[in-house]
Amino acid sequence: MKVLVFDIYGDFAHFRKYYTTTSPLTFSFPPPPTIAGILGAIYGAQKDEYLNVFGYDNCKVALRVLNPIKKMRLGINLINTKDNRYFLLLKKKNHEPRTQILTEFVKSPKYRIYLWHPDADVFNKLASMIQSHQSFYTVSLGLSELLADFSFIGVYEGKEISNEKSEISTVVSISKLIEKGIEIQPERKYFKEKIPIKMTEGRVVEIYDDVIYEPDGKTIKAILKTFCQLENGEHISFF
Amino acid sequence: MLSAVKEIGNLVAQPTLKIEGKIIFLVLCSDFSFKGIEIEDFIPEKIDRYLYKPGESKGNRPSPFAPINRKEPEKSFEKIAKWLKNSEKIINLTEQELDKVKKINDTLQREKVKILQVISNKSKEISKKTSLFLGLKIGDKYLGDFDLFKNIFNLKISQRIGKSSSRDKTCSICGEVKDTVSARTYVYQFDTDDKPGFITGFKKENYWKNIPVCQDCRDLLQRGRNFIEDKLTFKFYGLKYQLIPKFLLGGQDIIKEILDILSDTHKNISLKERKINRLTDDEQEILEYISEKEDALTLNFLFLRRQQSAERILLLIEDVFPSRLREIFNAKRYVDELFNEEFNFGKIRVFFSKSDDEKRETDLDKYFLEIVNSVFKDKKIDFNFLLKFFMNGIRKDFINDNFYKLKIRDAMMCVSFFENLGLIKFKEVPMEQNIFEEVFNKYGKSLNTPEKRGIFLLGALTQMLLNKQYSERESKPFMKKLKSLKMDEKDIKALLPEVQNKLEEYEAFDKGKRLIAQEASKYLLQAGDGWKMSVYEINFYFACGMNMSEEVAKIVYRISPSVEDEKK
Repeated sequence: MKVLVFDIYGDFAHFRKYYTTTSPLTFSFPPPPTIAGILGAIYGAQKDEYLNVFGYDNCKVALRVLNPIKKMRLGINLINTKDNRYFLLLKKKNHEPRTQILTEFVKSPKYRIYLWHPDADVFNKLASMIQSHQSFYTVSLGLSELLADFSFIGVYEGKEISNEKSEISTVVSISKLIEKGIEIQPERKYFKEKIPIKMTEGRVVEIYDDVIYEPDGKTIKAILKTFCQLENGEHISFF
Repeated sequence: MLSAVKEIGNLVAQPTLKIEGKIIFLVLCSDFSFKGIEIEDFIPEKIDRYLYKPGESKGNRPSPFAPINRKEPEKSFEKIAKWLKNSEKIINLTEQELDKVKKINDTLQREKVKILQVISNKSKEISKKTSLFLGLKIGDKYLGDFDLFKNIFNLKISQRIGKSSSRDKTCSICGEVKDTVSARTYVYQFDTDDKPGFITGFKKENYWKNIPVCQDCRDLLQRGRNFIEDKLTFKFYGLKYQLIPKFLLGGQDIIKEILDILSDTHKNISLKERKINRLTDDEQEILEYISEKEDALTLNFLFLRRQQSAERILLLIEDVFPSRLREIFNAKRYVDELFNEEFNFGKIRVFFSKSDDEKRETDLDKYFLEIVNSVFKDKKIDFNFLLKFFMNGIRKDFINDNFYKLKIRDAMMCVSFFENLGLIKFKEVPMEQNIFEEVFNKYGKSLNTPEKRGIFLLGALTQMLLNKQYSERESKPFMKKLKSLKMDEKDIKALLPEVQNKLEEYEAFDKGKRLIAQEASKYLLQAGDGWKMSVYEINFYFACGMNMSEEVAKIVYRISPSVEDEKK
């Protein structure tokens, strides 16, 4: 199987945790539906079709944390849309026209994305777009203000391996682990986050999963049901 | 985080509510005419019969039972009247049922003035310290004893929850496909749906797509939150945090055991007959205890602020390992020993509370929480940022000659604590050995350049002069020369001869002080011109020198013991 590998990075990222609206918190890395959006932006898939082209059922995606996850909070001035149907920036009784929302961001994010796609045309077009550093729409990390850059790393041959203990470079979904399959090692931190994995075009999340990651980007020693070994020796686990 | 709360809810028993107080019941006869009032004690076990729903925001409580607003009892009365009035609109009531509800409403409206008068009189008779509630009884039965009202009550709650819902979809908390999922947890209030700006293309009826929650998870979340509120909420210098333990891959038994221990903090503290080290002002704080645990669990610190019906997350410190707590406690113990005084977050809070003492509310919470976050998450802190607040605090006390040395000491403890944790780092510069090495080394690597050492020693010498002045004339006129601790490089260089001169005038420029002056001038000469230091930094080291004057004096008078010692 051919796997496209590229890096994506920026100054800040914000992938809002779905259960926070008034005080937005961020996931540490983009969940698969967000990655699909990023791929769609580079490839040129429309808003209503990217989940079809790069969705959970149509391709495989893995993510590696390259820069240590650092989170910080900044106050963002937003238009206060409460009771303000027409977004008029007027002060009314008990209603300020703007509201400051403390928002959490990932600072200096850098991720490596791995993609396998069964459709050779889509795969090749995306690979060439990334290689020539072009994108159809502007790429951002979560919010339109948080512009992202990307760089091509390569296209590698990968093979599937099952039930073997290995050092996994990417984040690992718990559902891919065999029971008690993680070997906790000193000097490594293991964080767990529940993220949306599969989203339909109607924007209904069908699968949520706990994902384990090492915030400094170190590998995770684990036994997975299946993982992919790339020709450069890296072991990756698709979501 | 919600999964962790749910997991806790799954493992703990429903905590009993701790509501105390009295209830004023408006009693109606069986023909629904107004009979009078009865006063009863609040009994938490009867909460379902009262049809009370605690823990909701006060404005929206869907219940015919409400706390009495002593100043405006009409508001409490209206809440109940409104609940009953709205009940008339429920479509599937039979004619008989509707008639009952209408009759009650008519009675309440007719007797409103009388009822309000009675409530007002009764509440005056009952001590202000007692919580008061208002409820309704028909004969000797509570409203919850009637199927009619119980059904209306449940219907109203499910209507509210079901505003946006769907069938056979995945719940975002348990991850399982459930018959019915609906939007929001209704447990924590940071997932509100009241602003269309929250989500692109936001439609309230589709809100369940954003956060689908099943009823089972909602119940467990509520139970988890109740437990956390009851047992794992701690004070933090005017703020409060909820401690939410999360388990990576641990078995349920281990989790249960840890929760049992965490929840019974009294027992835990009394069991160990030793001094408990604390980082905060909360006597129940159990962080030291957790720091002894293995890294099988992580801790979340959730700082929340209630804002009307919404809850704002002031700070969520996620995934702190017990091993990190150990490092923090080790740093704390190091500072405790160094200064022979207990260090805790209060020493930081001293500088990060109010920007102006006159202000009614604390306005530096954000910075304080940011620092707390850095401590727990091992994030670097900008030293110059700290200095600004340290110096503002020190200056305030210095200008009023108000125990400023204590403030300086607090600031030094903070710097020492942060340096020990590696949050602030000073470049190591090789410098020649000096008789004051003992003092310089004691407080870390911050005194790493000739100018810093020169300023420090000058500060110590100046304090000695101030002490001398005070012992001779009970005032310290030389303080005016220190420009409210806003001296720059030029001021510092000009200050040394002035201090020397003044000491000469007091005939106190003995060998010991001469030695300090010599060393200070040597360092200042070595430093040359154009120090790359802010005014805050210059004055901070000067203030540190002032605070450490006694230790500096000990060294010089050990070398030349014949000199008189006018230390205070």
